[in-house]
This record gives sequence, structure tokens and C-alpha cells, in this order.
Amino acid sequence: MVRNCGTVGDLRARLLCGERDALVELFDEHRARLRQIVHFRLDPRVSARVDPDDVLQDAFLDASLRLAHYRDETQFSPFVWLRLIVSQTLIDVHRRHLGAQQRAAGREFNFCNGALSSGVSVSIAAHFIAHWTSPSQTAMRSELGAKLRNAINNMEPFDREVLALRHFEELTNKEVAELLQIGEKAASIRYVRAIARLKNILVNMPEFSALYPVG
Amino acid sequence: MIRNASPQDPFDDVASEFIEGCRSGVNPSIDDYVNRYPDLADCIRDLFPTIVALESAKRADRTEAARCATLHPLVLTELGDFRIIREIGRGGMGIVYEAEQRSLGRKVALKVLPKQSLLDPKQLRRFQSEARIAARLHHSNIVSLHGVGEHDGYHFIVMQLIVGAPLDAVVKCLALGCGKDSDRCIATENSLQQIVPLLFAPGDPTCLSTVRSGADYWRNCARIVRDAARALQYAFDQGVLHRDVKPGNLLLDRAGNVWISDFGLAQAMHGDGMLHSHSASIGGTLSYMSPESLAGQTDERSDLYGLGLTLYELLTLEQAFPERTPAESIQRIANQSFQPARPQERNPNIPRDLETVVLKAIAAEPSQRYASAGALADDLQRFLDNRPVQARRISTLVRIGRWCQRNKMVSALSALAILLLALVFNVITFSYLHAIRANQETQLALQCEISERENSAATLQIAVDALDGIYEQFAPNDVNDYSEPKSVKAESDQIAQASTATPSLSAETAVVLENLLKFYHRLGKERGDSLLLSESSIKALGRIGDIHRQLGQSDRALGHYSEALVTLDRLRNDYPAQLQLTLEAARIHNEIGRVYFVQEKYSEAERAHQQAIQLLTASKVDGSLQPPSANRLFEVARAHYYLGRRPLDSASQVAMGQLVGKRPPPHHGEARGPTIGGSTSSDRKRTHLLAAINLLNELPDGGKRSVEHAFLLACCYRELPNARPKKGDDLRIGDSRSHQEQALAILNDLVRRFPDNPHYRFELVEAIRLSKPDKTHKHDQVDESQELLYEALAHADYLIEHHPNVPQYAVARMHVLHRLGHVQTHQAREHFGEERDELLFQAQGSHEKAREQIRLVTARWPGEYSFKLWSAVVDGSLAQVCLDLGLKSEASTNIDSAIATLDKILKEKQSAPAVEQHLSEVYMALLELDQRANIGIEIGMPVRYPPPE
Repeated sequence: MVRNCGTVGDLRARLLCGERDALVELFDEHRARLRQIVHFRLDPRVSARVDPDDVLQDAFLDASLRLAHYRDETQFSPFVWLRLIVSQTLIDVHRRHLGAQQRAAGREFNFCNGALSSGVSVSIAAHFIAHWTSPSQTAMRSELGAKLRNAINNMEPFDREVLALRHFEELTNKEVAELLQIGEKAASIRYVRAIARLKNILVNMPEFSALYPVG
Repeated sequence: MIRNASPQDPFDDVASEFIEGCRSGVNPSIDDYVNRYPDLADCIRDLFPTIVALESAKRADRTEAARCATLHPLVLTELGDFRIIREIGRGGMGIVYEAEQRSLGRKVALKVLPKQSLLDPKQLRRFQSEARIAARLHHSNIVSLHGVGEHDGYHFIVMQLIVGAPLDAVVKCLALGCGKDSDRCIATENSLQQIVPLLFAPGDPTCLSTVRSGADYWRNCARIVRDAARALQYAFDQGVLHRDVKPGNLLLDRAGNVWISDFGLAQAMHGDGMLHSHSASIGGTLSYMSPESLAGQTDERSDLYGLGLTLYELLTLEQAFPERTPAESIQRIANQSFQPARPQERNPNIPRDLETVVLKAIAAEPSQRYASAGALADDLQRFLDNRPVQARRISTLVRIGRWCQRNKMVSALSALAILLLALVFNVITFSYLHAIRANQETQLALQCEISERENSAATLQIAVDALDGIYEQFAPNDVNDYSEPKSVKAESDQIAQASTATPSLSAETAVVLENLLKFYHRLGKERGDSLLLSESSIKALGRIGDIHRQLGQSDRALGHYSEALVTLDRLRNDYPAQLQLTLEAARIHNEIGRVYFVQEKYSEAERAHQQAIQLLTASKVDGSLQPPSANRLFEVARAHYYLGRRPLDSASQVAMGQLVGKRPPPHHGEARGPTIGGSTSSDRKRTHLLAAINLLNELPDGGKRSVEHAFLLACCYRELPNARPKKGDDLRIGDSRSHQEQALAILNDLVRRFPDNPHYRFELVEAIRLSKPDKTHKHDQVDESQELLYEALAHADYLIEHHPNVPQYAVARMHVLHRLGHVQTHQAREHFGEERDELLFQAQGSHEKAREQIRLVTARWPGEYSFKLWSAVVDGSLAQVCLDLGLKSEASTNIDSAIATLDKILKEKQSAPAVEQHLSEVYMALLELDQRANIGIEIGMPVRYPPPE
């Protein structure tokens, strides 16, 4: 390559040049996080059939096809751009596997344009429930799950999404702000509010206050 | 970690640090943080446990996730027996690698598909069977398929390795090379560097614009495509179609030989799912799709079409159809009369014979293409041998004939009429659509001919008749008028707007009518008295007005109509026995009424129709003893119908009705327009309609006109409020069916008999959409009307498929979906629990489809204000369903989108008080909805972006 593509360390500049090696590096660097995102966002009905790694592989292919367009999408940092592609791939995967069912269930994967998903709450609930795996607790799992799902469902979509992004996708506040296209300060305030609200919900549920000494 | 000028909430700073600790496994103590940040102590004590809860829940889950991770490498290095050497290409179907097959020690190309779990098993099976068939092909210009395999969940194809480049890369390189940064692509791509010069004479620069004649290049193009055509012929003989011939699937190796790859595979991969595939390559493939493939009919000639486009691209270095989106491709493919620019127009150096071959290969009609790949190869061989090719340039006359054939409306005309049409077009209008370029000789010959015949009144008479026939075919006396899309700036430049502001006329028809207009003008100037009294000449007087009316140019139409009326009055004085003069005058009065109606000048319209009735009934009294002719009765019936029909729908009215949950305004109440008869107006309308129905039922059956009669009858029934006939209705024909059923029965019959007539079908769609369920049979009526709406949807699809350029049809589909959504919502409100939700989801689905449709429409006809208004209305309906479902934030999003649309209209709009009124009405309805959406939401908690901070 004779092109002037910035220093080796400047991933963003290299991506702008359409350098595919840079994409591989970017992908490898964030692979664990991306995998976590895919794992978290996969609908339970789909995760039985689809391996998160396959989704990532597919996302990587999509990313290389869209690499040329990155220069038109520079408002996003490389990671957030990659995450957008991964979520698009996820939407496609869900659409392919669930098709009409997805609509019937009334939930849609829609991460960044305002119509936030009620699917997120299901995912968060599943994460909580996954924690109680001891046999003695199996019996209470379904009841607890229903309660938790209900609790999180009653949160505002924005709260749900902020919690999901900060804790389960491990995005920084800056990245959350970029993704949701709001100011960093605003994103931060939202996050703190969401945490406070979740606390208020959990504290009123004996099951949770026993497991985590909240308040 | 804590920065002073942090853009974050101070608590967030501390929390982030704490979270980082949790994640790195330090397990920081909450008390420690309380001590370190006394200012935030309360918050930390209060909220950190929740953070711990979230993080530990995730951690538990993550270990589980990590346990099943397979950790495939992103970059393949090995696949079973194959060692991956390098990546050589990527496409929608997968990645192509150069690889070594260890057991055989040979180099192969591996095409690796996305992993199995992401594929539909049906696709996979089809793909494997297609690959097996393709593996049977052995030809020196076809990339051999060694087999298919699977390893580690990856499916792949093993192919012969061709060291070279696909033709699309070659074309791109050549196109770039002629620009400023020449040699740019050559420098970067190793194999192109070797291949591209092969196409030129030794020593020539590899750039078409600097090569003097390019003769070597043209010959090489011909040779490449000839070889590809022979290879295709071989495959066809084995019964294998390629189904995706395009430059990207033709490889050029380093010796300059062409290789066809991917036989049958693209189709197997994308198949039915072609349009929703997840890769971006689909638009590209559609650009090479033949018109008939869209209808699912592919044969050898479809592959030849792709090969023709490939040759086109090689010659011009541009895509014949540079579409950017699948939607554009589909529009182009469906609209068969669309032709690419002639190759010579893009580069005059392209040999004429090669151009002729290309144009024949890419003819829209399969029957006009080469009959076989062999024939194409032979013709290219003739070019290479410097012999004349067999393909013939299509003369203007043949083109017109073909065009007429495609547009079956005119097919009934005799050959003579077509010839005359050609004469008229060539001599009077010089151009026929934009696609036709008459060649010099033909034009000269035709001019001689017409000057010889010009004096002969008889010939002209024949021409007049023929053109009259054509007029009727193109613009049949469509009984109804529709609200024209109101352009924001329609007032100012009418002519420019004409083709879009025209009710239910396709752009092609508009062009033909404009050409006919010129003819009638000339006829109007040159007529002699002897000619004037023939039936068609009398009609010709009003024709100019008719055409302007059809073109949506109301004021001009009125001008020509009154001119025609003056002439007719004079003639009627001179020849009082000529009854057809009166008939024509009455007809023109009716047409004038229609123009006023569309302009929403209802009292002028009424006066015109009354005049028509008066003319016809008065002349009966003082005229002959014969009973009035069928034509006369029909004209009277028409006048009654026009007097009885309701005012045009307006988007805002319907919007109001639907958004605030009320029914649309009553059809026979005068919500708009001057109230003519006060409260009795709807009774009067009813009387007129019943009179028309009685007249039409009296008319004798049979003959060509009876179709028109039936159509008018259906329109009359449709206008009547939907109820079963009452005793006092004064309908002479007893029938227990409701008016709506009558209308639908007639229209269904017409559509069945004349499937090609879009007016009948459109009227049927509208009739279904506007019909109101009979209140006496509420329950099964709802199901029934849903069923009918699905039928209407199918008809609308048909209309759009056959007439993609008519905005009314596209809008009608939206209306049907929108109405379906409302019927479903209505139904849902009568149910409870899950059943209710199920119905509401259906309604949501219908509205979403409606929204998709109106977005297509507004994207295509962006200037039309009413379309945009409708898109806001549909968003509002969607919001309403979301509210019913309790999806408040989705509802808010929809309302926001609707309000944004309205704001945009407000910004764009110039004047028009009517527009303002509509806007504010819809606006109010939306705000009301918005209020509903926000009730119950915690105060101070913004639910929508952007946040108020």
C-alpha cells in the first residue's frame, strides 16, 4: 500500500482510508465486548439456534462491505460505528429467524433512533435470572423472573436502554452519548437517574433486597 | 480518575471508577468510596449496591456465555484440507480465497459462505443442488466447480482458480484511468496492471479517450462477449441457466481469456429472498436483471440480456442503468419503455454495428432479442470478420408498432391506423416520446407521401378517425374525476406540473395526448365545411378541450370548450337537423362541469350539467319524432350522475375524522363547497343518482357502449349511501342487493372482462375502500369488508405493477392499507384481552405498511403537498393504534414524525389558504393524540429525544 494512511496507531485514520487490516484490528480489539453485546441482545428464541460468533463473523463481513462508507459516517467513533453494524446484523438475524413472529410479539430491535426496545428489559431480566442457578433456587426462578421482567418493563425505555448500554454492553458514558446522540452531561444524568429508579424498584422486592443489601 | 472539568455528572465519575474496579476483579469496597468521597457519601451508599447487583448479574451470565464461545478466528487460515493463502474477493455470497488443497497439491479458489447458522436451511439445500448441477459443466470459458464442502460450520465451494480480474473491475479501472488520476487503479491492483493493456494495441495508452480509434479495444470487447456467449450456449445445451450474468461474474485471466463463474448460484442463494437479502450487493444484481425476470420468467434470453448489458458496459465504461437502490431498479424494469442511452451517444467512436448488436441483445421484449446465445456469438463473429451484422436497427415505424403492442390498449387498431399515426407523428410532431429518433430516410419518404395526400380530404378523414380511436384508447371516457395531487406551487407553472398533476394518466399517455393535441389544432385550422359535418370531425372540436382536461390544465380546457361551443352553436343554427351537434354540445357542457368540479367550483359545475340536460331534453321536444337515441340518454344519465356525486375527498377531512376517532364527514352533507340546496341537497343528489340509474337501466343492452353504460351505472351505485333499496326509492328495477354490492358486482365484472383497463380496476379499488359497512349487519360485515380490502389490495398491486408512473395508483394502495388498519382497529375495540391485542397488532401492521407505501410515494413525487399530508395522517393513525396497545413511547415517536412532516410542509409551502386550513386541522388532531400519549407519564421525565437539557 503506497497510500498515506496515518500512523499505525491511528486506527480511525486508517479506517478512513478503507484499510481492511485496520478493520481486523478494530474488530479484534473489541471482540469480547462485541460478543457480550451480541450475547446480551440475542432473543432467547434465536440464541438456541444462532451462535454469537456466527453473528460476529457476519457482522465482520458487513463491516468490510461498508468500510468504504465509513468516511460518510465519521460522526461515529470506530467502536460505535462497529457497534451500529453489529446491531444492524442482529436485526437482520432476528428478522430472518423470527420473521413475522417478531412483529407479533410487538418488539423490535431498534437501538439508536429513539424507539427503544422492550426487548432490552427481557435481556436484563435474563441476566439477573442467570445468576440464580443453584438447584434450591430453580423453583423460584420463574416467579422471580416474572417479577423482575415486570419491574424492568415498567421502567421508561430510555432508562432500560441506558442501563443496558452502560452495564451490559459496557459502553462508556461518552460512547452512550454518541450513540444516543445526546450530550455527555445529559447522558450521565440519565444514567444516574436510571440507577436510582432501578434501586427504588429493587428495594421494594424482598427477593432482591435479600440477595443484595440495597439501601 | 476524577477530572475537574468532567462533562459527566460527578457521581457518574465516581461510579465509573467503581465499576471499572468491579470489572477488573478488584472488588472495591463501598465503604472505602464513602470515605474517599464524603460529598457523595449518601449517593454512594444509596446506589452502589444496585450497581454491584447489575455487574454481578452480568458477570454470572458472561461466564456462561464465554463457556460456549467457539472463538473462531475472524481471518481464516485453514479449512479442512485447504490452506488459505489470501483473500481475492468479496461479494454478497461470501468471501473468495485463494487456497491450496493439500491432498492434491493444487491451487483452488474457495468461496466461503456465511456460517451455517445464519443461513436458511432451504436456501442451503437449493444452493447445494445448484452447485451439483453446475459442477457438470466443462468448458474452456467456464470456471470449473470442483465441488462443495463443509467444515467447522462453514460451507464453501471449491472452484478452479483463475488468476485475473472480473470485468467490472476492468471497466472501473478503465473509466478511472481516463480521469485525472490516470494509472491510479493500475498501480494498486497487480493483476489489472497486466490485464488491462491486453485489451489495447501494443504500445497504445490504456485509455479510450486518448486512443485514436480504439479499434483493438472494440474488437477485444466483441471477442470477449463472443466467447462468453458461446460458453453460455454450451451451458444452455446442458440445460443450465446462469441467472446472474453481469460484469462481476465474468473474469478475465492474464492471457485475456474470459471465464464465466457462479453458474446458477446467485439465484440459489438469493432466490425468493432476493429483495430482503442482508447484503448490499443486491442492488447491483438488479441492475442487470431483465424485465421478464421480475415476473419470475427467466429463460436463455434473460441471460443474454445480462450479457448484452455487459457488452454495453465494456463499450461505454458506464452502467446502462446506474441505479442506486433496488426500488429504482424495479421501477425501471417494470416500466418497459425505458431504454438506456445509445452507446454511441456516450462515445461516438463505438462502432455502429457493435451498437446494433448491443441494442438487440438488450431489447426489453425477449422476442426481440437474439434467439440463442449462438446467434449472438455468430453476429459478433461477423463483426470481427468485418462482415455486416445481421441485427437490424429498429426503424421508427417498427418501434411504434412494438410500443403499441406492449401497450395493449392500442393493439386493437388496424395496421393502417398505426401507419397514419406514424405519419402524423413524424410530420407534425417530429418526435415520438424521447426514445425515438426517426432516421433521415424514413422521414423524407414520409414527408413526400403526406404532401401528396394532404389535399385528399378522404385520407385525412381516415386519419382523423384513426386518431380518434387512439384518443379513446388512451383516454377512455373515464367517468370519474379524482382529487388531483395539489402541488405546493401548482398555480404558477401549470405546464411543467402537468404530467404529475394529471389524474390517473401515465406519463406516456400524457405525451401521446400532447402530440395528438398538436394534430387537432392543425385540423381545427384546416378543416373544410364538407369535412366538418362528419361525426368524428364534430367531436374533434371538443377534443382539444378534452385533452387539456385530461392533462390537468383546467383553464385551457375551459377556453377550448367555450370556443368549441361557439362553433357548435353556429353550426346548429345552420344545420338544425343535425342532432349530433346538440349531443356534442351537451357533452361539452358536461365536460365543462367536470372541469369546474375538479376546481371545486361546485355551483358552476351544477349549472353546466343542468345546461346539458336542458339541451338534450329541449331538443327532443322541438325535434324529431324518433325516440331519443341511446347516446342521448346516456349523456343525460351522465349529467345526472355528475349532479349527484359527492364533493372530492380531502386529506384533512378524512384525517380529522380518523384521527379524532369520529367517522369521516357524511358523504352527502356539504362539508365543503357552497351549499346549493340547503338541507335538501343530499336528497336532490339522491334523486339525480336514481334518475341516472333508471335511465341507464332503460338503455338497450349490447354494443360497445354498453360497457360504458355499465361503468357509469356502477359509479352511480357507488355514490348512493350504502343501504338496501327502500320501497319509496322509485327504482324501477327491483333488486334486493345493496347499492354497494351492485357497484362492486358491476366493477368486478368489468375488471374480469377488461383486465387491461386500469380505470375500471382503479374504480373498483376506490369503491371498496370508500364503501361503508351496512349498519344493519354489523358483525359479519366487518369481516367481509376486511376480505374486500385484501382484494382491493391485490388490485392495487396489479395497477402499480402495470402502471408504476401513476401516483394515484400508488396512493390508492396506501389508502387501502390505511383503511384496513382502521377496520382492524375498529374490530379490536369490540374485543377484549389477547384477542383485542392480536387485532391491534394486525392494525399496527397494516398502518405500518401504509406508512411504507406513502413514504415510497412521497419519495417519488416529493412536490405534492397532499401526499405529505397523508403521510402525517398515517403516522397519526399508527400512533393511535400504539396508544391503544399501550405503547406510549412508540406512539410519541409516530406523533413526532407526523408533526415533523407538518412542520416541513409549513416551511415549504408558499400560500394557498386551503393548505393552511388543512394543516392546522391535522395539527390539532395530532396534538390531541399527543396529549393522550403523555397522560400518565411521570412529570418531568422526558420520553422523547432530544432531551430538554
